[in-house]
Amino acid sequence: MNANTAFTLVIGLPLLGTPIIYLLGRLWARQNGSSNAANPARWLALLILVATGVFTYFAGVGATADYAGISLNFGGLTLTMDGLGLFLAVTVLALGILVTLFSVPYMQAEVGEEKFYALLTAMIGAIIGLGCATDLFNLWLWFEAMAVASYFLVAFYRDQKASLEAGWKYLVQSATGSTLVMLGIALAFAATGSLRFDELRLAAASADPLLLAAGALFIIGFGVKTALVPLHTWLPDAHSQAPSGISAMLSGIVIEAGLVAMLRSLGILYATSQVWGYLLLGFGALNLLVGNLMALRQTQVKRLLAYSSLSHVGYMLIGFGMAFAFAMPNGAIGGFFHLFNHALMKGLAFLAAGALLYALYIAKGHHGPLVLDDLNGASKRYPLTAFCFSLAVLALGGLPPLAGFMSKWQIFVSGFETGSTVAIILVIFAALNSVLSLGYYAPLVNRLYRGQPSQTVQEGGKISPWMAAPMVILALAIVLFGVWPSLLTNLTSRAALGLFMLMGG
Amino acid sequence: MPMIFYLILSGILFTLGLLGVILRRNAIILFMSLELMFNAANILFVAFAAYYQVLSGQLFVFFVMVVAAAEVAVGLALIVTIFRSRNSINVDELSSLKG
Repeated sequence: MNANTAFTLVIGLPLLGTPIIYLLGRLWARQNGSSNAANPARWLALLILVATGVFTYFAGVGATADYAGISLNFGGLTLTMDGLGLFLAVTVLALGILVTLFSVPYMQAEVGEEKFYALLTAMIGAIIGLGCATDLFNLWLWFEAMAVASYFLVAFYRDQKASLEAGWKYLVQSATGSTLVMLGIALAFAATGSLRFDELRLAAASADPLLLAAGALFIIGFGVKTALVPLHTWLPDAHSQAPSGISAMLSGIVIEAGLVAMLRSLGILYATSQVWGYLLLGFGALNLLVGNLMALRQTQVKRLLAYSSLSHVGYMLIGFGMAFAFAMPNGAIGGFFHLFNHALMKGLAFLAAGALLYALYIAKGHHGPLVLDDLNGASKRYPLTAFCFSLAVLALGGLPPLAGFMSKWQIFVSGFETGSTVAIILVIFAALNSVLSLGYYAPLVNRLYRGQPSQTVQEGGKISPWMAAPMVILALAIVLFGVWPSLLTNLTSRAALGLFMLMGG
Repeated sequence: MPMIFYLILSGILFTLGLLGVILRRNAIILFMSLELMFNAANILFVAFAAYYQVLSGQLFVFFVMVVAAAEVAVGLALIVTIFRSRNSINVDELSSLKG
């Protein structure tokens, strides 16, 4: 298949599919009422995502043939699938398809199921587009499309006060962040008169104060979505209140899409200042510490996992910071590797927590939070889910044969390769934080396997095979990429190459 | 008019908007402050599109308006739903999620 045709379909299918999914689902729901029977919207969404995945393969074959990737022109607008765009598309589609599968039983009894699938597809399409944008304004538009779709998904349980509150906090903070990004883009436009990545990079060689201000605004603005530490307060609320599949998407890919947008925009401004790399390293250290300390004192499982996302963004930031501050290719490759692994590990952790939450509470029509005590002895009633959950949290903690260890290792190696004292101290700090994180991951496993099942667990419902299948696939992938990390090298090193080409290196 | 005037006007609008978001507690006014911040960026775009003699800056403004409208539409939908369940749009009362 022609790579350019495939690329057009990769961009177009999810966006064109969104209204069709909604209309089909809505018409069907009108005719059949809100019964429990299967709404076809979910199958259409799944079909569209799988088809997009297939086309991504064909587009990827074309995009990896040449270092510049493949481009599409719509009038004056260019979309390019380079290594970074391909990497983001693969990550989001892999997680997105599994989340759609998982959501089949999870969202079954909910009102407005068709909206859920339509918005999920729209969000995935927007993230794919975000990776392929070639000018700052287009990047911002895709970013906003992703954000608007995710507001609805976070506040999906509209009869729950807590979820409305979480959606509101998310919306206000995220919208404020995007106005800051918008101002940054306007300043970059004011300084250079162009927003195309290539033209902007040539113009950005001097330390123009307008461009410095723009870079700072990009860090703060995209930092809200990426959950850099003082700007993270929306994250635990949104992640814990959203439907579990959406928690997995938010934590696994949406905050990372913010990170990719930040890296793209800072990459162009690379020549203006040395400070960006050090800022990323600083925020990385802060994210690690605050994320871990806050996770230690949580009593709700999904909030705990949300805070652990903060610390994992910290590892990625340290990797990318090494790339920006010391021009370490391993830092960027490790950062992207960790991004991918984090999508798998945190996706699995949220899906497994979601499966328990569903079986224990939601299936009984009760929207309570899943607290740590509910995990006690859950392995006796739910052996498979408990095993997958343990595997996910141990991988997140960085135990050696699993995927999380490999990517953390690569990031730490890049720090040692710099030979700089600051970088080495930072790596040791990060490694100690990784040990600290076991302080909240290990007790989860302990509770699952050694506690006595509570009343709630013993009365819990069954977990559908639709939920179990994505969990098993993710668990296998975590083990596979842990023992055979070189499978991903092609993808991650091309993503890093895309970033370095943007920086002009 | 010198360019610096546009920069100053945009800066003032942006600061007003940011202060509004931080200080005001009424959800609707909070959204109006967000709009001010978007418009501060719009003024820069239009002013510098004229300065560089390129059309793209003016084109961006329309997209910014559309996006801002989309954000506010979602936000208003949320406010209406929150108002139904709480009979208030004071954002200080939205404080059940902590820690």
